[in-house]
Amino acid sequence: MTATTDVLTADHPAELAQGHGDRGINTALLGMLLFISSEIMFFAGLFAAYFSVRARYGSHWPALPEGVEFNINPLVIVATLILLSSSGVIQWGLGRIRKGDRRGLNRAFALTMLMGLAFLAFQATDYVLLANEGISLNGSIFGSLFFTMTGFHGAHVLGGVIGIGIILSRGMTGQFSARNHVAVEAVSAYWHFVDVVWIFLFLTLYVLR
Amino acid sequence: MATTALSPRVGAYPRSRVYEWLTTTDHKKIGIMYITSAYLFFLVGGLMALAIRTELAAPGTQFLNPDIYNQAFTMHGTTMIFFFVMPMLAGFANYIVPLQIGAADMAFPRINALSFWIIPFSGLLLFSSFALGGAAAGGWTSYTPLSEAKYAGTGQDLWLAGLLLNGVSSILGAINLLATIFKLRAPGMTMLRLPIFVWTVLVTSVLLIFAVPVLASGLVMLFIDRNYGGAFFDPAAGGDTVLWQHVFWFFGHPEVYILILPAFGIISEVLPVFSRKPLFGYKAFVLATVSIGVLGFGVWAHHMFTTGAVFLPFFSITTFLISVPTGVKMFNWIATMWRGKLRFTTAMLFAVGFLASFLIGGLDGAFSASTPIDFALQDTYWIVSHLHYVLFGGSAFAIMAATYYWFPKMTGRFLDERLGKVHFAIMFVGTHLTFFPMHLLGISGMPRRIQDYAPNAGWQDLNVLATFGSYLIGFAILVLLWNIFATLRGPRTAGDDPWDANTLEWATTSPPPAYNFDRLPEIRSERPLFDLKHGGAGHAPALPSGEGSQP
Amino acid sequence: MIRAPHRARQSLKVVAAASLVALLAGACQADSAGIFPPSPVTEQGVLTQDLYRFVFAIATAIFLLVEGLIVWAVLRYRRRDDRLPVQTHGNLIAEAAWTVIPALIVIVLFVMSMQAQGKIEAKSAAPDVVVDVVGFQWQWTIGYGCPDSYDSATNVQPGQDCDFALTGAGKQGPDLHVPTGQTIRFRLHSADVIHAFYVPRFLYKKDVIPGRVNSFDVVVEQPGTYAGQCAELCGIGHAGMFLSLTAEDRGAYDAWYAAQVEGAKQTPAPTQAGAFTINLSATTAAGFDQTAVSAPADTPLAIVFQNKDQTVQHNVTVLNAGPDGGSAAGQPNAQPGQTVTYAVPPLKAGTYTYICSIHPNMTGTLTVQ
Repeated sequence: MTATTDVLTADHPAELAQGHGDRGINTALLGMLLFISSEIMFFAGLFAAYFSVRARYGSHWPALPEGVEFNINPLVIVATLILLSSSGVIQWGLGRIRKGDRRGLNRAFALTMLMGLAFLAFQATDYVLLANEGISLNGSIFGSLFFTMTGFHGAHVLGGVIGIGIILSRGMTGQFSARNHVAVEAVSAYWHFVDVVWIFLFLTLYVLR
Repeated sequence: MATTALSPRVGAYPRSRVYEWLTTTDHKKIGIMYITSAYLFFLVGGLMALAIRTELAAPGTQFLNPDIYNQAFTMHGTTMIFFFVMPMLAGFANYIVPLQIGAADMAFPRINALSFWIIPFSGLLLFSSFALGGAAAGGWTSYTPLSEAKYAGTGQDLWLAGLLLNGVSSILGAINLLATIFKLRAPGMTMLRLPIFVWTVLVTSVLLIFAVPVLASGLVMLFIDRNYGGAFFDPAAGGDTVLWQHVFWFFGHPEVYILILPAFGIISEVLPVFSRKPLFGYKAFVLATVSIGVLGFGVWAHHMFTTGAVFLPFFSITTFLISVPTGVKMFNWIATMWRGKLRFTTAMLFAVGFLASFLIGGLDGAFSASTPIDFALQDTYWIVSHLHYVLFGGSAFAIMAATYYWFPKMTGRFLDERLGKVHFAIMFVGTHLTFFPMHLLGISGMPRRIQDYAPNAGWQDLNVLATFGSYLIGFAILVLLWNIFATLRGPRTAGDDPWDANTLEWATTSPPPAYNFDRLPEIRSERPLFDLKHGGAGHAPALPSGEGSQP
Repeated sequence: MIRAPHRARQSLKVVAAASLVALLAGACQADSAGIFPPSPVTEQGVLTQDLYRFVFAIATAIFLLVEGLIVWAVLRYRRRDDRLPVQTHGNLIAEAAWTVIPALIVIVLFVMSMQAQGKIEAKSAAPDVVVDVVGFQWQWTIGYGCPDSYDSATNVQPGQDCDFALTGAGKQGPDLHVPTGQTIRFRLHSADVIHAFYVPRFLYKKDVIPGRVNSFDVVVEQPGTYAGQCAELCGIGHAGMFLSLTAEDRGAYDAWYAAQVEGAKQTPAPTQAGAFTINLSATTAAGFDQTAVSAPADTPLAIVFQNKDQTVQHNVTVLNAGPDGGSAAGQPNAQPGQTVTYAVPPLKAGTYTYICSIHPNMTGTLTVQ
């Protein structure tokens, strides 16, 4: 290095590492949002497959083998309402920790976790019902699409539940505060994403068919 | 290095260097590991290419039976795209981007290490197929139904799993680079002062985040088809086999820009430095890069004109239009050299070689964008020629330029310039000898992916020429390897800024210390180092007169 | 600082000269391969050829201009001293020019392409001849006089329902005939994976996709015999999936057609009484169930072949066993699930090879003693 007069200096590398980091969105949260974008594209690929196949069949949908019928499990309405309201609950919890209310955070996350588990329980019963009706991953294009789309969504719900569990266990030991709760933000964002995907799945697979 | 020497533990318990590299989260070490592993995969993919060329030098079966031959070109394409060019460009991005924006490291150093380490393991998974009953043999596009369980064995599953893992690495790497570029820029480094290489990495990362997951969804669907009786791509079970092509190319065409945009960025770093001029039309260049990224998502079905299942006019016009921003770049590069003071280092030669070769690949695009001409040329050797002009004459030449350009920064040593020029000359001739005859073969009707051709087809002479050219390329790579080997044994003679360059990576030592910078020059343009040395020619002078303007 | 302008200039010249030689050598190398497509034999191919020439002219002009500029810059602007050149950051007018002009060029090319495409892809309401092409691993079956249901039926096997059908064997593809000067419709079906029907002299190809029926119309103007080949990777036999297409005047075509219909009516020669029976079967294209069988010498043989493969047709062809030293048996092919009995004339003692001529990798040894 030569010229030294007209330069900004930083004595500690950590300050350089900071860069623009203290302005705007938190880096970890940005990372999570970018990750969610890629997840959205993954589901977009599955949805595109669905609509592309769906368009070929017109009114002959769902395309199932002779004698098999797709009966909607009425519990799906309940499960959808549970999942939708869980987004509100987790957002409320996020609002609490922003105000420094740790107990509120923990309560909200515990409730969200239970609601997520309830949704997964619904999905398990739904799968059993469908299997009894003769719809499965193999054998029909409708079955392949239905189980792949809901299956990957279910796996994401499970991932979210695990994430919420981690937040909860950290929250119990008081690791979050009004200033320091990036992980809470990130997990909430992920949970909303899981929720929104379900809205589209619900509309596509159960309502519009 | 100086910083670690301060640690009292180092003297007492010296850590092995291997351990240090295996556990590092330093973006520079990770970058070098990316680049090294990419070069290793390049050698493997290159050997397969030489085998393919040797087989095609004469009609009949030389030494690759059709089964092995199909595996060879499938794995050649897969390796070169997913395990050579992508990790290579990711490696340069890893090493250079934090330096160019004045950051100390990547935003998520541990995720960075994870993204790298996935690559060798996914490669291992892919290549294990050779030992487990044969590799995938359906081409790097793995069209269904040929890749379905009925027609393809375990190798196809390993191909799917390897690519899925590789995709995870790409997505994590892209997220990391984007977060780094958005959040860790040094004070003064505004978005419109980012070096063009950083801009191209930025757009590439966005493409990766949007394109790779779509491929992943396709891979998952094919995996379910193959292993759990799914019906996605099986027409007999009600699926749609063309759906795979849509999903694959929705990823696959942005992928082409993922492979070439950072190469554009490299060229845009090298040309200005060795022309001693700024990049001509910086903002137009940024705009062109962004518009290529956007248009890149609207052209995928031009790979499917002959399926009779796509809306031709839409994909034809978008494909024609995407050549416009690419043309803008070409003219900007030439204008950058115009009235400059050109120094023909090896890096510069490769950059000029890139312009000369990539131009042919680009003009080819106008032929295949035209649907009637595409009906004649699709799936012939003409396409093979086109894609290699873009990816070899383009991306690989840029990678060579980057290797010679940044080697002094990474190691403190110059690659030998004389050997470098020999390397360039042989590789340039070899490239055109290999790939130009393929145009003619394709036009005369030689389909791609055939292991044999009839002796009376009249294709042998041109095939021999191409094979000879490929041996030249192989020899040129040996020269490069020798050059690297010999240089690494030599002394460190390159200073901090050996090329009289413009960007921040040259404002620190070669190689840079941990956390990169002790101090940063003030950033008032996309050439902070140039401003420092020349008082910002064309701008208001920044330095007190007479102060340290020349290194 | 590295400086080697002199050497660089030299190596550049060498490179430029060598690549020029290479390009010229390439362009003039073979008679059949040039920078233009082979002369088209269809009405539609002529349009493609004209369009190709037009695009080629524009591309060549751009190529010469840009490479010229590069070479000029390289030669003219070599570094001669250490003074800093003028730092030009851009020029709005120049940049606008090289954005707008290429945009106009590609729009012209697009419009011309669409005009040509409209004519090339046009479908006749009543084509004169309809030919059904079925691609399978790794040959073609060509059906003539097939029912209209083939317009949309995806899993067809031209046979009894057509006037006649031709199937290629080994690397000898079927020889299909078409009349010149008339509209021919090709309907493309696949029995397994994707293939592509490609006749280079048509300057045209179309994918043969399972689950879909593609079709196109052409008018062949030039009489002659033209080679065709599968253009979409379809497995290990891809390189051997040939066909040949003979275009002749309507009279000759009609005569050929009548002869083929007559030939299809003939039943295969009945098996001679007292023939020695060999049973063979195949479940996949990987091979026969038996790779070694034996038979007595100087006795007529009957090979009863059961095709258990549900996807593709096979046959049993005994090489060098025919009366003229050619192969014996072989036709007709056994459709999936079908059993066919082949008659083989008495053989002298020795070993013979039998194959499925569609899948030459399926082999076995017949020992006659």
